[in-house]
Amino acid sequence: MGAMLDALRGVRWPARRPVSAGLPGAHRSRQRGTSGEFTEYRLYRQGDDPRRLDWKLLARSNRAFVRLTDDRALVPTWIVADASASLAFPLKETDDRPTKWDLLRAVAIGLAAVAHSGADPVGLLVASGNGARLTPRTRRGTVREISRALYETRCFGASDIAPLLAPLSPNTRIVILSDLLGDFEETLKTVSQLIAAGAQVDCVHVVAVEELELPDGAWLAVDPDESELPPRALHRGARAEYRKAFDAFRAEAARRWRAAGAGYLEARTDASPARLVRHIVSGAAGELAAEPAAVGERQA
Amino acid sequence: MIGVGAPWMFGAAVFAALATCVLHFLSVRRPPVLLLPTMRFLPERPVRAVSRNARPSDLFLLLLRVLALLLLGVALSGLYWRGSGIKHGRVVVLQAANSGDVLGTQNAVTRALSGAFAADTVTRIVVMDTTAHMLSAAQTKAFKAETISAPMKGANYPAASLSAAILTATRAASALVREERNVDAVDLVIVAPFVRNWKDAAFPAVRATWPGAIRLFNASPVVDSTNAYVRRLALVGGKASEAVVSALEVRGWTLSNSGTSYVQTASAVPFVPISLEWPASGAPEGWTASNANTVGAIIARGEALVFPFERVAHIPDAILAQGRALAWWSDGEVAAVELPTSTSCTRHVGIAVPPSSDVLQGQAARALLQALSGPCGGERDVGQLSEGEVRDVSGTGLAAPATTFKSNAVIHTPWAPLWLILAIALLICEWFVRDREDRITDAIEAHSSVARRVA
Repeated sequence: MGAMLDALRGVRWPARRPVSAGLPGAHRSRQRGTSGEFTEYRLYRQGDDPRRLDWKLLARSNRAFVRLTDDRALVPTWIVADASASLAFPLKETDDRPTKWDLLRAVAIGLAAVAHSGADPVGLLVASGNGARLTPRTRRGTVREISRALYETRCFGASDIAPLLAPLSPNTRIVILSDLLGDFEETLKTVSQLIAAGAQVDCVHVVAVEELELPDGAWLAVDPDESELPPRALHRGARAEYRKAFDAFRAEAARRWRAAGAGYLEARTDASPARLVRHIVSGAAGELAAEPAAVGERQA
Repeated sequence: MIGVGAPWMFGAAVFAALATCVLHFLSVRRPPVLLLPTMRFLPERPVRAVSRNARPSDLFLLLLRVLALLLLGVALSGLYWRGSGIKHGRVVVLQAANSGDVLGTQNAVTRALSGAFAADTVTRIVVMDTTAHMLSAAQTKAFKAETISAPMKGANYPAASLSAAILTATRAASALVREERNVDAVDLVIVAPFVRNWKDAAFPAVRATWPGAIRLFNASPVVDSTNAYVRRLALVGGKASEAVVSALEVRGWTLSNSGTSYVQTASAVPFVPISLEWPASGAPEGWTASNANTVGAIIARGEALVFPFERVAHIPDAILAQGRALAWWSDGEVAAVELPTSTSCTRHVGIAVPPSSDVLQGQAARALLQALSGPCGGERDVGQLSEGEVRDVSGTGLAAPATTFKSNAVIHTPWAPLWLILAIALLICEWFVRDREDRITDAIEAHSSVARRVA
């Protein structure tokens, strides 16, 4: 984890568009304020604050102008982590390869570190699992608290992200890290409302390599999220149909999230977390709307 | 060299072991559970919860099962160690009845036993006198032809029978093959006088039962006719009936010079004295007296002598079992019996003939008197067999293969109990191993179930 944080040192995470008014921060605000960074002059209009008049210019030109400056604001960042049972795949008991939760946790900590280094308050919401909630803060140790909370989280239960998103303020930046196997429709609906209200939302779709390349042999597949569902047979003939359906699901998820105005990035478990974080903070997830955005190649 | 007593049993065990291996490879079992979050993308089809396991697991279990089956097969099939050398078996049957010369018989036995005690030969000797005696291995080794002496010949011996010799030899060969498992073939040697009465009516069928050639040695048959043995009748026991004495005299028997017995001719030919106990009272010594009752006829040599004879005694079963019946009452009870002695025979007649009766003098009594004055053991045809007849008896071919005499019954070797115990021990181990693996599987299933419930 330390190596990843070292790799992310100096990385900035600018907001993709001007943010609403808030505490002074590093992101351009839609609010024109009185900061020291001059932008333009504008004729004085009744109601303007007389203290913003440029008196020297008035003396020289006998015309009243006010000085306009861009305001800078903070963006509270929510990191929403899906800790449903499906994230604990592949099982640690049978495979030493990283689970989806391992990747999700690393990316979440990396994003928190990057946001915190930009002086943005960072908070954590854990869906399912132990349901940890850390309000966005800027104080020292915030990243450590988030890291500890994530490491203490155990994946179980079904995914239930939408209820967590509903009460969030639209003046925030939200990163949802999930395998999208839970309340997909409800989450997307809530996200659409938040985006319409001005929120900036990114979705990191975590996909295990083992989900793309199923193990050989005959198996009796059981859904860890929905244990009541009857098991299904995984055999040679079912693999092609499975892959076709899964690919269609991923493509449809990317299309719908991007159509809603959110950034979408597919993260495979064999990818480097630091590279994923760079993709997210650079806005590549949002810009690559026309083509599938997946980061799964293992870095040399 | 390893031999198998019951090859089919061992084959069945091997087949069962192979079948177990095949079934183990083709075992149909429930596939393992895979927790797959994306299970929903699998096609919804009926779950086939079985699959062929091409790569076998539980190889230790398979090994235990196969070993147990093979050990059971080894134990039940009578697998044994035959040793390194193959031996040849020989059964020598000495049938010296009707032989006329002890020295000639001894020579024939000596020739028959030539090479019988070589290292690669296992020999069994069967001596047939009044009964068949199979000598043990030790007795066979100690047997000398010189031990054959006068008692082996004589008219009182039962007539030599080739059928009896072959049947006895078959039993001896079976015993020999059972005791000596590395015998590959059995040679049958019969020492007997080549006389006509040697071949009886059962000979063709009995000869076919011996699957090989028979080596024959002639034991010096007698050269005289059968009747040469019957020249003197000694009336012993109580006083003979006058009717009997007069009947003998009518038939040509005359009192001998000694006045103790009746002789048929005065010629000095060999004879065998036959004691005839025919008391006037009709109850020989040892018979059981009974109430007198009248019986209408006596049957001897297939002819009936009708007369109101009075039966006053019954012959005990113990005496009857030792002798040969000569005449019967019309109701089937034995009226006269022949008991063998060491060199001759004694005949008991329980027919009371009235002293004044002439019933024995008539033609109807001829058969009865012939039966009572005939040679001991019955009349025999001791004429010489021709060379062609001897060749027919000998037959052609090789010695009989030992497999012919092996029984299909399960052979138990001394190691069989050990193999059985080992097989049972392996089966018990298999049960423990299977039980342990079942427990592990149940624990894994339970663990998976709990994990799913928690999830």
